[in-house]
Amino acid sequence: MKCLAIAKKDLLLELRSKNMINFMILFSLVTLVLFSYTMSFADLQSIAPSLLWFIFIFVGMLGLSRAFIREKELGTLDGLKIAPIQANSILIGKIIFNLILIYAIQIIIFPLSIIFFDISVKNPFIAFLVLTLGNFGFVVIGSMFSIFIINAKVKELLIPVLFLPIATPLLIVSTIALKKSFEGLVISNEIILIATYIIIMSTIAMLTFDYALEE
Amino acid sequence: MRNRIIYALSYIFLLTGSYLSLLVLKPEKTLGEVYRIFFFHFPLAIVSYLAFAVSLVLSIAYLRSKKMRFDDLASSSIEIGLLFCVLATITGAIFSKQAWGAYWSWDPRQTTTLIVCFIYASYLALRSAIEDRETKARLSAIFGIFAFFSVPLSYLSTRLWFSLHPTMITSKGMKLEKDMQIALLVMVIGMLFLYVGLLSLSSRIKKLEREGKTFYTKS
Repeated sequence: MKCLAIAKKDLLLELRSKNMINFMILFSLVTLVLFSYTMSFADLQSIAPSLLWFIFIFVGMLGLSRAFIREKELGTLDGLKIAPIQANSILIGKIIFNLILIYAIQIIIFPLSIIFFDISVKNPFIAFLVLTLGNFGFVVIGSMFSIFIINAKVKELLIPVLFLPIATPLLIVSTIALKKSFEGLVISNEIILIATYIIIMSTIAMLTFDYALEE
Repeated sequence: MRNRIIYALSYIFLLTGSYLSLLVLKPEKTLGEVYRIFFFHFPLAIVSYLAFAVSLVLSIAYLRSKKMRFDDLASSSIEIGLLFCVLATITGAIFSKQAWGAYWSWDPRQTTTLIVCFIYASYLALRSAIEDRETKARLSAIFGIFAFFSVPLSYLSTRLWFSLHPTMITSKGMKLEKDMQIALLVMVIGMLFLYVGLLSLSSRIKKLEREGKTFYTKS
């Protein structure tokens, strides 16, 4: 339950300052509009799944990487370290907070993407579920990797370099799954693979986060 | 002395293997002469994956014991593995041009190897971005664990991608004859010795560099 306290703390901070959520929503809206403006509607039907994932990945990478940088900048990371809580609770708390952020954006962007891209979605609920699951995977990896960059020289440059190759399997599978759900096809294999990815990566994250935090 | 024996063994095996595969073996029925590159491609690929597996074990060993020696070995293993992996990709592309008609055809194995190259290149990027030796070792060990487990996941996901494109060739379908197996085995053993030799050399350089640095800061 300590993780909920951390998520609550971050959420409260965010609701007061709103410096991340506003920027993330604006960024995703701008990219969405630019994508739909620069591409023809005929192409969009087939490439919309990839474009949607690109929006989520970029907004995620830019936003999620802040999870621990902010703690480091404010000097509160040491406070978290010496607090009588398990290291994993910090990670889970950050994951919950990031999930809330990304899902807030997903709820706004997904309907808008159908409008702007003018795509036909056979299975909107399944498509939404795929986005939810995929974003969960990205958030787990993104939150974990954001601890890597706090000690690095080139922080913002390093996160895509670390994040994108490891997230490639998830990106490939969730793009296929989203495409298939737009066409109304069965996606049980894809869902299983996404779930496997999430389980494996979260297990490693839970086992190693303790080491990542110590100094 | 031990290193010299390892190098000598790797030279002997690689030379014998090259002689067998390039000069002794007869041209293959369907592929002709070009199949000989397989005797370099396959050992490189196998040894690179082995190097990554070794780095996983060493990364876990580092996290448990915090001995710098394990970090030296793990990072060296990944450097050599990456080199072998790139070479395997290049030789694979040449082989693929003759066997399948194109240098690059997004076959699941090709794609996975490329992704693996990117993953381990980002491991080296992470290492170069962190100054503090201890932090570098710790974080890169964790990243090494993530990297290794994303390899099978990449393979599975690219396989899935290919179910969308059924026209591509997914299996090489190459059966090896007895003499080919021997040549291949000799090459694999040679590559293994080369890997062990390079690993011990590279980790020794790192150890000396580290000791040199602490010597400077002390005096």
